[in-house]
Amino acid sequence: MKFAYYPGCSPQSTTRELDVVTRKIAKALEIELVNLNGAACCGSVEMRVNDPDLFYAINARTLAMAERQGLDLLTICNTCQLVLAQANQSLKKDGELLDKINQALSEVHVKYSGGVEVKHLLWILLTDVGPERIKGNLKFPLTGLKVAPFYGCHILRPKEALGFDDPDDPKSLEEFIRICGGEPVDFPGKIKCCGFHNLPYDPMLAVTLTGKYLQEASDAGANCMVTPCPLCFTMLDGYQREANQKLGSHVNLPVFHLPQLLGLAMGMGKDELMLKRNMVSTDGILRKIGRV
Amino acid sequence: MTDVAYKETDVLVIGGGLAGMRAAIEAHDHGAAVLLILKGKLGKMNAGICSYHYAAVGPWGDPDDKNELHLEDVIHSGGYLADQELCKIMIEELKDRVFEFERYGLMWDRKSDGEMDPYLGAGHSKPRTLSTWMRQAGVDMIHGLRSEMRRRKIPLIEDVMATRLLVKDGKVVGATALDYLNGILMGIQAKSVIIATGSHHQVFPVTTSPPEGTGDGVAMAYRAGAELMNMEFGVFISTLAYPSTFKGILVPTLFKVGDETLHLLNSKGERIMQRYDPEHLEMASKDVIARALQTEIKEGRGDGEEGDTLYADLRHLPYEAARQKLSELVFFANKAGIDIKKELIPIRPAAHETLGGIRINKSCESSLPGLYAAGSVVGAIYGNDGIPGRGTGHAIVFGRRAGQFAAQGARKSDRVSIEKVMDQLDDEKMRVFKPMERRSDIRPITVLKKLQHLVGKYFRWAKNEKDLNLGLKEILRIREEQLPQISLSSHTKRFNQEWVKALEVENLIDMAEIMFEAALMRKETRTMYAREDYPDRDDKNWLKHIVVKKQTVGMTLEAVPVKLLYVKPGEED
Amino acid sequence: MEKVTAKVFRYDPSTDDTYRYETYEVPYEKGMRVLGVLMYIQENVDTSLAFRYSCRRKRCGSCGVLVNGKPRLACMEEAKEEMVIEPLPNLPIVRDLVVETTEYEERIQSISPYLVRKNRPEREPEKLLPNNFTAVRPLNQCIECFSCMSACPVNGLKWEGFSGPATLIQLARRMLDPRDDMDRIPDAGQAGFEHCVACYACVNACPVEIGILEGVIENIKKKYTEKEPSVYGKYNKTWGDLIVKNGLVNPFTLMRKVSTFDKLLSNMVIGIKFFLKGKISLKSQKIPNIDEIRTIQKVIGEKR
Repeated sequence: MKFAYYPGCSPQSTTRELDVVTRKIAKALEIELVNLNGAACCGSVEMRVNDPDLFYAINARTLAMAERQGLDLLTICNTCQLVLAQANQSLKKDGELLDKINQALSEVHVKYSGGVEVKHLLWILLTDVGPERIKGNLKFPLTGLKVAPFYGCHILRPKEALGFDDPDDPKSLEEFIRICGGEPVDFPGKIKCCGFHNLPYDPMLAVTLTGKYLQEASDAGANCMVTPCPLCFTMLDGYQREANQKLGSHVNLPVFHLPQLLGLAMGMGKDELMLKRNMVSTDGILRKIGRV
Repeated sequence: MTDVAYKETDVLVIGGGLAGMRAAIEAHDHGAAVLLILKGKLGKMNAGICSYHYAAVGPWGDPDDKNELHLEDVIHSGGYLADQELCKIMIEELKDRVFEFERYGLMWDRKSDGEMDPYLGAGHSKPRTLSTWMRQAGVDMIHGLRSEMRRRKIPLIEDVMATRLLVKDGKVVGATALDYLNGILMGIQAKSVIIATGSHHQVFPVTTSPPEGTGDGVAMAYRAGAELMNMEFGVFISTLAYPSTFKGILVPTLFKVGDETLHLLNSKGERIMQRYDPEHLEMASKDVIARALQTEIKEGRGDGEEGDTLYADLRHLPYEAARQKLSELVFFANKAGIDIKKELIPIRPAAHETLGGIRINKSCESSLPGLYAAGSVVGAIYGNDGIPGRGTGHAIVFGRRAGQFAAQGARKSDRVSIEKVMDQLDDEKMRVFKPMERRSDIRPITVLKKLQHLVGKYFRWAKNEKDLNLGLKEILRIREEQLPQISLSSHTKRFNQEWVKALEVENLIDMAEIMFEAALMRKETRTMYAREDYPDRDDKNWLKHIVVKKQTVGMTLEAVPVKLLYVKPGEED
Repeated sequence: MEKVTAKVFRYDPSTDDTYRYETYEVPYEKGMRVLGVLMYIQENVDTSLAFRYSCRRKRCGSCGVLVNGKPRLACMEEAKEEMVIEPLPNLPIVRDLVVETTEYEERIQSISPYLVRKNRPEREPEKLLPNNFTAVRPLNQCIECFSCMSACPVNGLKWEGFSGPATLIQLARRMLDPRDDMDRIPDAGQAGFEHCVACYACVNACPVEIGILEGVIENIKKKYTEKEPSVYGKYNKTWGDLIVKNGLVNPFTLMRKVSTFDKLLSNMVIGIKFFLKGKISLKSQKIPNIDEIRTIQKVIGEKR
């Protein structure tokens, strides 16, 4: 299987490990990732406010790149997934909008016809690849590991734009954990919001929200956490200490990117998975599952 | 006295729906100190939100339309039992309210060129019916009124059930109310009292209207000696059949979706209205439809356990248009698991609202000085049924008038100190606290269900003397044997809804009794009012209003001739 | 399903030390709603159960409760085989499932929730083009049921300065009404719209399908950033500028440009930590053919 690969901005800077490990597990599972040369930032939740026409144009351009190759788009970030899916939906539904945007894009010889689907790696793993294929590739299933699934918000809501999981009772990330051999741990905050998008101007809010969910997961008995979004990862892992400080808590919960957890179960080691880049050390987890 | 909270105001408004809010706003704008009390939360406890439309003659629709035509339509559809003077005033004041609502933030439907978009409502002679997006004018009107209440910061006390009017020297000087959030009786002194508590449809077992419609206002007025009128009238309509909480969701037949209406079918799949009114079909007025459906049921062409289930057929309508114009019906049919593109919607008859209530004059004043009334609590001024826009129209027009006249009345009155009516307050406190003090195993809900069951059984659309007498006997028995036994399962003073229900049941029993007595008296059939033992219309004897008044023992019922000031029954009737 | 089981929150602050849950079994009927379950319990099992309802058809917004942890209108929510029914969160409890919503009502009152218009229209009825009301029309559906407030994680934290989605809807209802001419920008600022984390929890919970994020929050953000400088506005503008400049947004560059002085120290601490882990690229990467983005921007600007 082949997908147009859209990593987004964070995996090309702060969470470079996500990009690297995604490529590794894709190769192992025979998913061909085709690079899109020069795809721009999706605009996040800001661009549509800032300049709606430019927002649609930039994303139509990205989608057109995938369309040119006859491929669907694979994302590895919740916000990229939602934003591109929403832009795609609007362009497909609103003929006038599509025409207007294509007019602007014609200046750079680009046209989008609405032929692309936008899918998150998590969904692709569960449906296109499938549990059997994945299990067949596991060398060290994560038996005994209690993993808290942190979905984050943009992979679940609004369901009109995404449609894979029931936003009130999602199952995909728990299923993923089970396929990797681990035991999912339920906690209320699993579908809530880490607050990343407010971080630059409202850091205390993001830190407080994040801290709350870390505490819940820890209280529920989790050894570690997994998340399909690099932005959530940056909050949960990168700001864990700050969250503890703000809430007066003592959570020590290592966090994995989605492909890192899978890579671990597939037999990749600490260096291959670039686990050194985690703020909260994963050494304890590796020791626990005998992978030091 | 302990356990009593005292309040003072110029104008006390009881009830926070379309009429109550409009009255409070008007009284406030006339400079009166206003206090509005209601049994729930403002904007959330009223029948108005479920209204579909409003109707008025104005610079929209047909340029040949005039108030006289609208007046004729209203009086005709009400079986000529309208109070024509009040009706004329209402018709004339409808137009200005349309502009007012837009100043309150509402937006009436427009065509794409920006002009108003009226439509033809069943029973109207011209397209003068207005609505808002998704045909939910009621919601927008309530929102508009609530915004205005908020703008003026009109004093408001929620979760309060008014229980009794305080009367001194033949004039209303205030009211008592149960603050059931805290379990305290309130004594409110007011120079004018406006009752706007809505219809008492909860006498019926299945109704489209909300649960708070228990006749508190009518009962209070009746017990204080005010005259009531039209108590034998009610509107019967068809509604969704299941599930229990959707029972009572209206099946609207009163307007077209494009060129077509929905169809009403019997158990054989025949289009019912073809038999009863082939010219108007489903656009016939509500009473013709009610009669048609009831006759089908009576003659055995209904389904279901009780043989009263018929069907609404939307299969032939363009889905998107149906979804917009019949939005509520389509939505709830979908939720009940019915695919309207392929299946029929089972419907059953239910009560829409009662039309009887407090008798008022031009100034919205009742026969008791100091007591004003507006909205569905008023004895139907437009007769015994109405055309689209009736409910919202009269509530708003008379709400405004009640506010104005109550404020003017208050200016001319002196406030009477609560000391002067302390005996009434003491008396009322004893009555109100009785259910709290009793110990028994008879609960308000049991008595309510009994009452509703017998009203449903003996006060159907087509009534007869035998059933009415049986029903009346049962009602009196309930009042004598069960009512004095009612007690509560919890004696908490905090938000005790069961306590409220105990008081509501007493009000409903009184209303039911009056309804049955009045129905026994009216021996004829006319538009929405039907007696199967007197199936013909009898203008000679019954072009009259039945006015009811409480006496020391029992009540008097007097038939007062209708004054045919402007519109007379034509030969074709 | 023959019957359903409902675990219902019970609490009377005037008599009980603390809350408890009572479990009830209720016979199921086709299409049953949670409200039907509550009514059955109140009518047949425990007449002291307290809950609000009125219209039964999502117009009054009275019957908001938590069903299995999610804020729902009892009259609309389908009855499930097993349900936990609780009062809406973060509000004082009156009794059982009834909560005190005064706090939310006061917030709404504070943003002038009514039409403000200095001049009367030229004529009445006014000529009003339906297309001008497309933005405000869905907002007028709001029934103040407070499901959104209950779902919102920021409101759930009782975050200082954030008045919550319901307040913002009422504000936007007037702000986007072409007839309203009050300057509502100061109220928007006071209402703390920038604390919205854009998580769509409110959208997911809204029973009348108001697209709160795009219809309310984004519209308020647009209007505010046009009129008033703010930290949020700077952040939003910087994001856009960085896209046009480089194609990708480098978080470090973003933080550097947006951070206010008071956050400088804490940001520096984090910055150093991240830097040591190699997470920071000091220089911003540009995408190849970045000039395409600039061309597109220019064309769009010209067309306006």
